[in-house]
Amino acid sequence: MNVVALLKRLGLTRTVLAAFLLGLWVLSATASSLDMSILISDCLVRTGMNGILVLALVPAVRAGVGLNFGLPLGMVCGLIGMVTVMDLAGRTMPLELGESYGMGLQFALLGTAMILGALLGMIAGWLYSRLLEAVKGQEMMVGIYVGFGSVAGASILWLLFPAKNPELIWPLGGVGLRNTLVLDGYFQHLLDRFGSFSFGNGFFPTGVLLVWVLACAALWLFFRTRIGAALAAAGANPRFAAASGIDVRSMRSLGVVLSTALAAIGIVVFSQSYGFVQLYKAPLLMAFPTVAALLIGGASVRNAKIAHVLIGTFLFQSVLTTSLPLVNDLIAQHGGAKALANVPEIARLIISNGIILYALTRKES
Amino acid sequence: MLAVADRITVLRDGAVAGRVDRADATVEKIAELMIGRALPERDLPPRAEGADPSVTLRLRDLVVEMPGEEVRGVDLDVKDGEILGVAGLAGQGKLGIANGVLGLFPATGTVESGGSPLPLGDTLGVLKRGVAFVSEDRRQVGLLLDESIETNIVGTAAHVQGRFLKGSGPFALLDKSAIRAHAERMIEEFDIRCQGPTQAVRRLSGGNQQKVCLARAFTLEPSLLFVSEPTRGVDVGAKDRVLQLLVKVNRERGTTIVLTSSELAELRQVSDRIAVVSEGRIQGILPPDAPDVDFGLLFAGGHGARRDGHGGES
Repeated sequence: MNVVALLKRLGLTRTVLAAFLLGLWVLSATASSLDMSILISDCLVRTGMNGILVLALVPAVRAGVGLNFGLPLGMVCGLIGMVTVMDLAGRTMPLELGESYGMGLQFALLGTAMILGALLGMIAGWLYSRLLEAVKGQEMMVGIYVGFGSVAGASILWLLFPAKNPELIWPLGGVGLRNTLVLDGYFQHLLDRFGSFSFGNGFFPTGVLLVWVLACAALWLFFRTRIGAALAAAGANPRFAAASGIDVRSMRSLGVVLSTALAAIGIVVFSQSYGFVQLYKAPLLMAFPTVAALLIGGASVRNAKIAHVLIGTFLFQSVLTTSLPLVNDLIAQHGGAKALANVPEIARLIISNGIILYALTRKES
Repeated sequence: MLAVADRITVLRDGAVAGRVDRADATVEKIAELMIGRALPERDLPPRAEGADPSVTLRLRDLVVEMPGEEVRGVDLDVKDGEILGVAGLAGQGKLGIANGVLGLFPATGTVESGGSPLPLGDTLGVLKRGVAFVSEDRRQVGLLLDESIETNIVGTAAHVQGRFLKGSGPFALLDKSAIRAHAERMIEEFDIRCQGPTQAVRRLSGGNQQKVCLARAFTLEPSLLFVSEPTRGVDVGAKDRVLQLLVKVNRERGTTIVLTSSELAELRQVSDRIAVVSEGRIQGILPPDAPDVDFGLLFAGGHGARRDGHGGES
């Protein structure tokens, strides 16, 4: 009986994914030639890398706007922040080949990129919330198009961006930013390596996980403030909130603004971990795996808790991180068809889109 | 109806209350059947009789656009410290009055409280003036169903009055221990049957949900309280308890209460005066022990005064 109750508490998706992850790890440890310490280390890095992006969804859900598929709007703001900072740094104190900025300067660059991105995110988020107010009831569908549109709009910006740092613009010269900017020398892996320690051949990415957990704690605290409680009430029952004298419209706006600003910070953390800033079409589909991670954590369209972020990000990212090298390794060992290497990518699409569909069919949590 | 029907059957509370032939039928007789005779005993604690109480709330030409409960020009004076019943049939506008004063639906007219006008349409401003409201729509407006009992009880007070907070300003943290203590006191005082202050309100019975709504309103320590349909969907035992609570707060704290209900019997049980609303207007104000016939006539839209010019309506 207790087992049934425990499973019920865990929820179907979480249980299935946790069991699947455990199975993958057992398989990796026994049947493959993969180094478990590297595998675990990769899982942790991927979790910290995506963590704030997943967290960014929470304020919008709590404000009653639903899953913020318009997350790429915030990501674009974060990208602008990073590009601006990199360009300014490159203009004022150019790096020689193979050189790096000092640790303190790297942190300053990273912090400035985050703040700049968050500020832009707040402005963009406020405009986005005006739009959502006009299309009440269809926020999620409209959000998808806002996300797509902002990525396309940003692509024009990247082509016209007045950058002078030669590391950012096309090698042949002229105008326009490259597809991929290398963060080596700027703040590549800065948070991942901060306070990290190694185990086996892998390492524990203390800094990036710490930043994520601190951001989660800050948002958790926010929902325990007067204004945070008002925001949650406005999302849970707008008519109740109105009868309690809460300005429902501004609370919904605030939720969207917070979500967009957090997405901007999230993409900066993501990029430092990844080592590259990816422009143009890169953020186009990034909202979907993020939403899937939150839903796997146990959230629904109407309810999302910080715990859902923590659990969901780890489960989802770990399954993805583990399955790709594992399948490749098994294929190599057994001489299977090379086409099978696509299986993890297919599985990723099935899991992330399937889980979104599943969540949208459930009205209540 | 009297003009066209051969026989008239009156339904009340889902059962046939009586049948009359046209020959015997009078407006008074039908009204009596509609209201029912059973007068509950009034057994109320006495109130301190003082000088003639002043008017605490003055409504003039209040018009409220609440769909299905339109108010079309209400003039009403509520006296300090009284329980004023507001009666009327469904859809006649009695529910619109409280919703309009609280700014939940668009309203025009003048509303004065304690001599100065209340801001119409500004719910927060009205709440800050010591007015509280228990909505007729418990599940949709009255409660956060998936939140805990304690959150429901203190939420409004924390937002409107800045109480149960550590520090001040929008980012003041909720004071969990003060909230818990207050919720436990309210659960005890209001006899809310639950597993504890953290239980989700959705899991409570209708009567206990209603007590949570009242606890939320009383937490605001209002000087004027609007309560609409407090016993709708509440079992019999809890009904009495809810009414007792209203009387208790009225007597002990001197809270003025405007009690709107579709059940005339309960209004007659606890009110000092009963205003009858029909067609969006106050048709008259009666003492609670007025004869059934008088109530029935007001329910139907007044003493034939409206016959001329409006003949086609009924």
